[in-house]
Amino acid sequence: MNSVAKTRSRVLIVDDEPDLLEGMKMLLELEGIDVILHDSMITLPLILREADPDVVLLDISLPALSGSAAMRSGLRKMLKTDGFIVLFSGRSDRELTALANELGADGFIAKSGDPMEIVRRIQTWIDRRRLKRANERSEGPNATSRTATSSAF
Amino acid sequence: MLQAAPQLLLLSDHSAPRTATLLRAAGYALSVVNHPAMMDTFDDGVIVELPALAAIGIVRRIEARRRDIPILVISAEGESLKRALPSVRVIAPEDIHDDLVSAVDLALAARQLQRTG
Repeated sequence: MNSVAKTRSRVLIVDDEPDLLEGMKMLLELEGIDVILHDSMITLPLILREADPDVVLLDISLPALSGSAAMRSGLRKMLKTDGFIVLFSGRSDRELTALANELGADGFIAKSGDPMEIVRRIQTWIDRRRLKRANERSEGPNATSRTATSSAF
Repeated sequence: MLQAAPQLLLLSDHSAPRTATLLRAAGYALSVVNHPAMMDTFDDGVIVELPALAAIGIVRRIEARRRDIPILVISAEGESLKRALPSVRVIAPEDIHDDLVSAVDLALAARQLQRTG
C-alpha cells in the first residue's frame, strides 16, 4: 500500500444491494473519498485488515451471516484499525438507535436518507477518525484505547 | 403511415400508479418493472422512480449499457441526484402532474434530433 493511498479517506461499504452500492460509491468518490465495496461478511475480516478504512458502513441485513451476528461474534476485535463501524440499514431511526447501542456500533445511517446528507455524515465520521489519529500521534503510542460511542451523531 | 407509440420503461419498486397513469394517458406504451435487467433494447426512454441511492446506481448502470437512451428520475432528493447525475433530468414527485409528460416529450424529441442530426 503506497503512502498516497494511505492519506486519502477510505470507506468500506458492506452491503449486497448492487445498485445502492454503486450509488454510494459514486457519491463518495465525488467528494474525493476512496470507496471499497464488499458484499460478504465471511471475508470481511481479511478486507478490513487490508483496507484500513476510516469508516465501515455495515448493512445489518446481509443474508447468511448478518452484520448483527458478526458484531456479536467480535467484528470489532477483528477490526485492527480504529475505523468507525456505522450500521447502514433501511430500518427506522428508532430501531437503529437501539441496535447500535446493543451492538456497540459507533452510529448508524438510514439508507432512506437524503444521499448528500448521508455523505455529509460519513464525512463527519472520517473527520473524527482523522482527529482521533492525530490526537493519538501527539499523545504517543499508549493512547490507543478506543471508546465506542453509542449515539448516532 | 402508422407509427407505434414510444415505448417507455418505468423502473419502480412499487406499482407507481400515478406516474403510470399519467404516461399512459399521454399516449405512451409503458412497462413497469422493478429491475433494470428487465430493460428491453426497444425501450425509447426510462423513468426511474426509486429511492435516491438506488436510483443513482441504476441510472449509472443504464447509462453504461445504453448511452443514447433518455432517462428521467422522479425523486424528492433532486439536489443530490443532480450532483451525482448532472445529465439526468430530475422531477420532484409533487411536480409530476405538471412536468412529467412534457419532460418525456422533450427528452424523446431531443434524442430523435440527435439521431437524425
